[in-house]
Amino acid sequence: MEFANPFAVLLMGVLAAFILYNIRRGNLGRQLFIREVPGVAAIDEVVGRAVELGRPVLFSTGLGGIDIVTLQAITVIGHVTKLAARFRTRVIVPTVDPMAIPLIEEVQREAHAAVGAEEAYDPADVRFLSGEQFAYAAGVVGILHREKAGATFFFGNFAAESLVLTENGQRVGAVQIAASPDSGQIPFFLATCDYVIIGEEYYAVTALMSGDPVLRGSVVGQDYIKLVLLGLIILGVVLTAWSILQAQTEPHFLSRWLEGAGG
Amino acid sequence: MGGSYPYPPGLGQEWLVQHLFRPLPGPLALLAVFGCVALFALWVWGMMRLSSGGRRRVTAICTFLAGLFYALAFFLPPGNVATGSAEIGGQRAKFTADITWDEIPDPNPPAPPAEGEEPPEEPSWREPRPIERNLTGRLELTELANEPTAQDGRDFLTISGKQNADGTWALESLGPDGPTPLVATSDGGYAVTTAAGTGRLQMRVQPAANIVKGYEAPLANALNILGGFAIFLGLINLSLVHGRTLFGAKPGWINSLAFFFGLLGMIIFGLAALKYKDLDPTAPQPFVAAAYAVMFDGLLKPLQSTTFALLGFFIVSAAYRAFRVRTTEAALMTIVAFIVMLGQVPLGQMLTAWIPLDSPWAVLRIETVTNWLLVTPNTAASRGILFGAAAGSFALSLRVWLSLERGAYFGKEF
Amino acid sequence: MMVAPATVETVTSIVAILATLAILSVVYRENPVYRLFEHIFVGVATGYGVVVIWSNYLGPGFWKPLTEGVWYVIIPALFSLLFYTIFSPRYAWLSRFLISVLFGLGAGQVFRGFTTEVFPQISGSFLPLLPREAIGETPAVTWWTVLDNTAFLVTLLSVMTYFFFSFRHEHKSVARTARLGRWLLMIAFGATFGSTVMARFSLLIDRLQFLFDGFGKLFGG
Repeated sequence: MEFANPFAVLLMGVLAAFILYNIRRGNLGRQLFIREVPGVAAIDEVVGRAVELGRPVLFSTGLGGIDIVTLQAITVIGHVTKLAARFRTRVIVPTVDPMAIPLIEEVQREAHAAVGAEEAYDPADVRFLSGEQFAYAAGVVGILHREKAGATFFFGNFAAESLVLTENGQRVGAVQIAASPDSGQIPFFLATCDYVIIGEEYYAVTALMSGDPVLRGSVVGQDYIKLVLLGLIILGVVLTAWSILQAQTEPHFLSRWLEGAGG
Repeated sequence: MGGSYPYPPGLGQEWLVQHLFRPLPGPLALLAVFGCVALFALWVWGMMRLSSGGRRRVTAICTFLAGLFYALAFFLPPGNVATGSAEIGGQRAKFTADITWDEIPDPNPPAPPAEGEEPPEEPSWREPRPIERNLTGRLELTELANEPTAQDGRDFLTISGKQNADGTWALESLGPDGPTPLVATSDGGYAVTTAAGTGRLQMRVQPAANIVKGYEAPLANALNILGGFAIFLGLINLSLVHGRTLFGAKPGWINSLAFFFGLLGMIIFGLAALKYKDLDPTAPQPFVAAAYAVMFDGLLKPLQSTTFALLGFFIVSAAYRAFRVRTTEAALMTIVAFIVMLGQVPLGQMLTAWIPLDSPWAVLRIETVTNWLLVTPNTAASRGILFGAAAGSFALSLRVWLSLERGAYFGKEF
Repeated sequence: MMVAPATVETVTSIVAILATLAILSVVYRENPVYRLFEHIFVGVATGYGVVVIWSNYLGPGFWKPLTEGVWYVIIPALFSLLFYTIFSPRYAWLSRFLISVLFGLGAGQVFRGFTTEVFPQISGSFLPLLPREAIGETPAVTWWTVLDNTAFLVTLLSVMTYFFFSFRHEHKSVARTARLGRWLLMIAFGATFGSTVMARFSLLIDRLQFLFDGFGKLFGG
């Protein structure tokens, strides 16, 4: 079914309310605690390394088009470009989606303007490398070697090409940070990158970077969502055990609600 | 020939398709295109006259409405179900039915192509036919109604029908004796006759509340066109980067020349070869088709698979790097990786082949351990990561939808 | 001009062998030949993308209907012009408008996405933690299964705990569970890594096989 059942409507409403409630708490000036993520703390330091070496930064947004995952990466591009542009260090962004070009250009232009480095902005630092996975990988490998990247960022959704990218980053001696909400490529990032931001940490990056109360509130809201999911799992396991004791073979109501929820 | 629609038609969709969004003869179509261009220019002019705050508000509202479309398409009930109950011979029976949207069949369907004749090419537009709402359901008369051996007319009764223009339903039951119309009773029910006796059926039909779902398909088409034209952004970007190198005769210009050779060759031969789709590979080929074959099978495919195959080397060096990191976590990962790798090759499996398969220690055989690692901890951990990532993407989507997002692209001056 | 199929095949083989060798050469070091083929690769892949967009979307979805009088396909094409306003500082905000709306469309799909992706996996985690005999078609739950299910749930719950951001990990129980979660994550990642190695080798062996076969065909007659 392509439509929500009443349970899905209710749960989505509750989850959205948790996010909005916590954003509001943040906006009202509540000091909300969120823990550090080591990879995020390292972002500034890694850019600094490239600046010291006088080598450009390479920032790959992976295989995603213009979606939520890429949007998060683009916010990080803004931050990294600002840090680097202050010292006239370039941030090269290869992309697979032509629709992402205007976003990245705009963010980079603004980042340069914000630190008074308008003259250093070059639209050719955004590089479209075809929408094909391995042509993109081959192109990034070429850029890494030719430009002698001093630092690399891999933020977004990646597939098998991840290891081609990060191994070549290692070969040119770049300090590397990888971040992906998807678990698939994390093992390869862990083997080849200096810092790895895993899973949901990806969505906490901007809140930690900026300390913005709205973003912090939103991250706290995410914890509420996970608590709800955790509660549902525990309740479901208890109900399953109960139905075993009752010698029931039919799935219990929570299973039925979740499985008929849409999809 | 009636197309089946899984979803209700959108609000006003049938009217729009029949009256506004239909093809026009040549000159009128051209006029309509110019009309659209003029309206678009007017819209741009209006947008440009907005103040900075106005631009922000209009963007926020349009972003919200865009998201609302898909939210409503999901949340509004489709009205695909009818339920109810019947009293037949003193027994209560359950009734459930699926509802489908079907095109009213064309009274003069085109003749099917004759034997050996090519079917005519599908036109890009065809006259839409009005859509009617049909229902198929069953009355469960006995406990056995869901068993495979259940008999029509004894254990269950099939009921079908379509909605009249006034919203009432014309129903008939399909018993073993053929279709029998059900008679609507004054209390809104229907009189039913079965082998078990007569009775009354009360039916509740979900209203077709989803007034946007039907627009999903046309929207997807529009977005394909919109996204398709964005490719020029990529071409402009590439031409800027490589044109600068090539025409500035900078070092590496030969690479940029190679780039343009690949790009233009593929576009020209690829587009020209589109009309030679079903060539006999053993016969001489036209030049463009041959050139396209060389570009596709000689360049694109081997370049793709060889770049992929580089992973054969890189996975070894990555494993070596992981092995050198001396932390507990890295060690844990490397050891498990090593076990799983061994468990997948015959040489590794030989290591524990001496444990008899029927002994209680058989669970320690390396292929069993490998399988367990891949099924239990790996699935569980991936699921844990997925739940967290889903929470994060839910929160970010909500912020974007409601224009609460802060960061480089959103939350800036317009 | 017609070309014999044997010629096409020979030329294709030679080009493919050159391309394969050029890409493999990057394992030793980045070099001019790799660089040349890397540029050709991005060129042909982009060109192929253009051909696919034309033959799948713009040809049948835009140009053909337009020439048949379906005038309204021009509307999305006009809106796509807004992408190109980035080249003019005055109009650039319109590209931002368009992209915001596109993000809005994506954001609205999150409800369906979350429901279809997450809900079945939650109900899939309702694993039996008590043994039982088989009843009808419902299979038995053995003590082994219970043990396996316990390991599954411990991994799932501790990994989820690891990702909590707003709980101070100073609480001993939270800190310990999160630490356990981190270790179990590493075990899971190790399993993914190990299971990929052989598949990657076989890709490489495939390519080497292709080279040998190609040389054989060209020079062996």
